[in-house]
Amino acid sequence: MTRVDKYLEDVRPYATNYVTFGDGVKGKIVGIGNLVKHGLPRLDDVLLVKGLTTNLISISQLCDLGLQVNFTKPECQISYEKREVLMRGTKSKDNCYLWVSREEAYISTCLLSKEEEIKLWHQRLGHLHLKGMKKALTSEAIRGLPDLKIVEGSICGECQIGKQTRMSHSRLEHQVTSKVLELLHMDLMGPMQVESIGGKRYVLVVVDDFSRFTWVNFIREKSDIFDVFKALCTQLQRQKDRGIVRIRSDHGTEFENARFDEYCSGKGIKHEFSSPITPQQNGVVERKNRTLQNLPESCFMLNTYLIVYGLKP
Amino acid sequence: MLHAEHLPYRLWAEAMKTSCHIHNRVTLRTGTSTTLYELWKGRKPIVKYFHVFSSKCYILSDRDYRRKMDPKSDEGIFLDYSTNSRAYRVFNSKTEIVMESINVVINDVPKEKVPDVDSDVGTPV
Repeated sequence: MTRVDKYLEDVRPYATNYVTFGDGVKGKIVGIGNLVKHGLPRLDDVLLVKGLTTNLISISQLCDLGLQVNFTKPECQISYEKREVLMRGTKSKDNCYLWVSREEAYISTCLLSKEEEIKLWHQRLGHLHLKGMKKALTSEAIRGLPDLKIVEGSICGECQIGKQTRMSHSRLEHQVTSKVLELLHMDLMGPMQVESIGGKRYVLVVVDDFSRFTWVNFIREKSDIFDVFKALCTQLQRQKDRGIVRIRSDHGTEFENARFDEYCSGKGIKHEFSSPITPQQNGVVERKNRTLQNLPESCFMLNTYLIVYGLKP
Repeated sequence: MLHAEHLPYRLWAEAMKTSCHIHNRVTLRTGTSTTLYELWKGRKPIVKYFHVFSSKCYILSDRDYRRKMDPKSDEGIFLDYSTNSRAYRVFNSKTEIVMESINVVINDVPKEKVPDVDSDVGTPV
């Protein structure tokens, strides 16, 4: 019997009105119900009694259900046909047997929940990633590791701070353009350490995305880039009789300025930028830069003619 | 005027331009069997006129006054191809200027092995 009505489900009225205690005091029976609440023993036909100070379990009712109740000095065990222990109680100082919850009975010092334990072991193992923990557990490669149920996907904040890396850039599977001049990639190379014969220090590399045809323009100062780009744009559009749809560049101030913006919006060209500090997104032209640098480098290193004439630097 | 010892590095722009010119005509677009030039222009490229960059060449000196027995040509370095006319761009070693000319004989056959002259040339700059 209990006095807390929220523990009970399916409460019905009960025929008897009062229950009498040992000292003659009567308690009013409010109803009868079933005890199905997490963390409490599962019992049927529990009386709801007003004025009760302690929750009581009736031993006779348990015996009526066919259960065996075995009292010993330290504890009492309620079992089903001597096999499975259903409930357990320990003897307190005032000679009452107190019910002990099931989880408490199995693990006497349960201080952590499962999830917290996983996190604890994750930290103990030097912030080992969950995949690695799972692998170690399934293959039983480590002794002394408790059997944890690991669900992948929980993110440890410290791990992100300590281990976060750059995102990978996967290769594109198919072409994104179907016509020439649909998308132009552009980048500025330089300044070079040595001026060219004409006194130029920068190279504007423009690559058409569909054909990958490349144009190089040599530029004296960064500020000249706009005029060169404008001339190239006009020439290419005239040549192909088709407008440029998009251009793509990095966030250099030579590309991202008011004049450039004005020209592009006036001509209806969409100017796309790669993310800051991410040259990978401008990969087409960056790779082209490398190709273009190969010939000068190999020529200057290997050309015997220049050596003979004493021209090798 | 050019400083002779800085010449090769000062030719980087020419080298890069030649590189671009060659790669546009030679590289095949990924996933296809056509060159970049064909995708752009719609016809196959011609590489008949190609020569090795920075090889020795002889330029007919047709622009300055020469007498009967004067040498007919100047030595030079082949650089690249003119974008506006059918001509070669060459560096004239005598006058030390870059010029465009069609009367150029380029010697780009593999040269005999040249002895190691690094010690004569001195330390790289």
